[in-house]
Amino acid sequence: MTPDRNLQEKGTWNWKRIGGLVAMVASLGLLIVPQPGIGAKVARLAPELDTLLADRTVQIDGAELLDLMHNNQVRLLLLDVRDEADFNVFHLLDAWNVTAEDLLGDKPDEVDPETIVVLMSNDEARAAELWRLARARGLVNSYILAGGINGWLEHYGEHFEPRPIAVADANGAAEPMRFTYPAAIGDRTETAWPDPHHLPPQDYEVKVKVVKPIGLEGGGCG
Amino acid sequence: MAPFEWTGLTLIVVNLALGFGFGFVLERAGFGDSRKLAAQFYLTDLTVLKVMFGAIVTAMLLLLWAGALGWVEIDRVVVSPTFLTSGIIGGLLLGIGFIVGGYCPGTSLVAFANLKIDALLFVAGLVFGIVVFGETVPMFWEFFQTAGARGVYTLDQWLGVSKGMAAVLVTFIAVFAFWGAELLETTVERRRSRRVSGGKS
Repeated sequence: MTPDRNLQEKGTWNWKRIGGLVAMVASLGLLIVPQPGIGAKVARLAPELDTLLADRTVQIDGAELLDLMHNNQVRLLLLDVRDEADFNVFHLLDAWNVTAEDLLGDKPDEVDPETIVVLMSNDEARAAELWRLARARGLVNSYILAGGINGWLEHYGEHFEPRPIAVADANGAAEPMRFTYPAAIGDRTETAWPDPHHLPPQDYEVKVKVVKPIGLEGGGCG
Repeated sequence: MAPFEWTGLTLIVVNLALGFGFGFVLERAGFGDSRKLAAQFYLTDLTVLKVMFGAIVTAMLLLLWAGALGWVEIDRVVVSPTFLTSGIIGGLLLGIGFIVGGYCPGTSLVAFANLKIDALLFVAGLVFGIVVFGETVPMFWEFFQTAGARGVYTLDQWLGVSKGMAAVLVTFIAVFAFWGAELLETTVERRRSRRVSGGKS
């Protein structure tokens, strides 16, 4: 080591020590102040999410969903949050049957952030509950099917065979399925993916707006 | 405040300011000198390791603290997917280019801004490489996009620990690396001095 470098090193050595110490303390602090959990995140987002729900900004019409299902320019993910039994009776084509645990797990990390996610339950309450989780998990383009599967069957069911049968007694369930089929048909009916050409023209308010994630393009070596 | 949505002239001004700032800092750190950069590989000057690792730790701690305090939604920050095999091959190629040419892409532009001839040639080669890559990429696109694909795969996921714990590990490794780098530089320097003085006597 040259004498010059020695002097320079001595001058900066204390700063290096202080910098290293600050970094170590700052990193250890992250163990005490962890990243917000999902509960804290939902609570923090609650005012914003409540407003969106109350204004019905995120409840999309069945007709808008139908257009999205037939639009090959968008990435669409349908999340059916009902019980497996109801899901087996009827569900939209390509819908995934998911639970709150799924949304709390790794699945949301696998979804492209620009994907339009539409959650659905029999009506809207259960979907709205899980929609909050989805938003908190970073699925910023999440929406709810207005009227749920009941609304879908009520609107489109009569156009295709087999037709859904209205259920009078829902056994006091919190959010019951108000239609059924003679057998569990899943998505084996055109009602699960109706051809818009087989339906009368429908007007709806466009609500889906794709929000792009905060991007960090490029990177790498300086 | 955030998210910032800049467009038009504002975006250009912000990009220019950030680019100028980044280039200025690289230059002041001595990264416009190919000899200093290449010295990394001869273990005589590990400034590159220290600056890059320092930048990683600083950015990581600031981002995670901003997330912990609720200023940034970490989930909304895009993390590039991991392609292990492609990354290893690309890293080796970059490393070879770095040793041979004395620069990496960004630093070559910093040196070019200082009108250095070697940087001019390096940038010419860089542009040629970009064109060749762009024209031939369909030939190996499938391999490139699937080799060692792990999706978004971060250290905390790999280690099965919290983000905070991963940050502690990275920070301590960095501090240890800084200390080790200084020690290595001193040792190599001392050996070289001994060899030089031995040669003279």
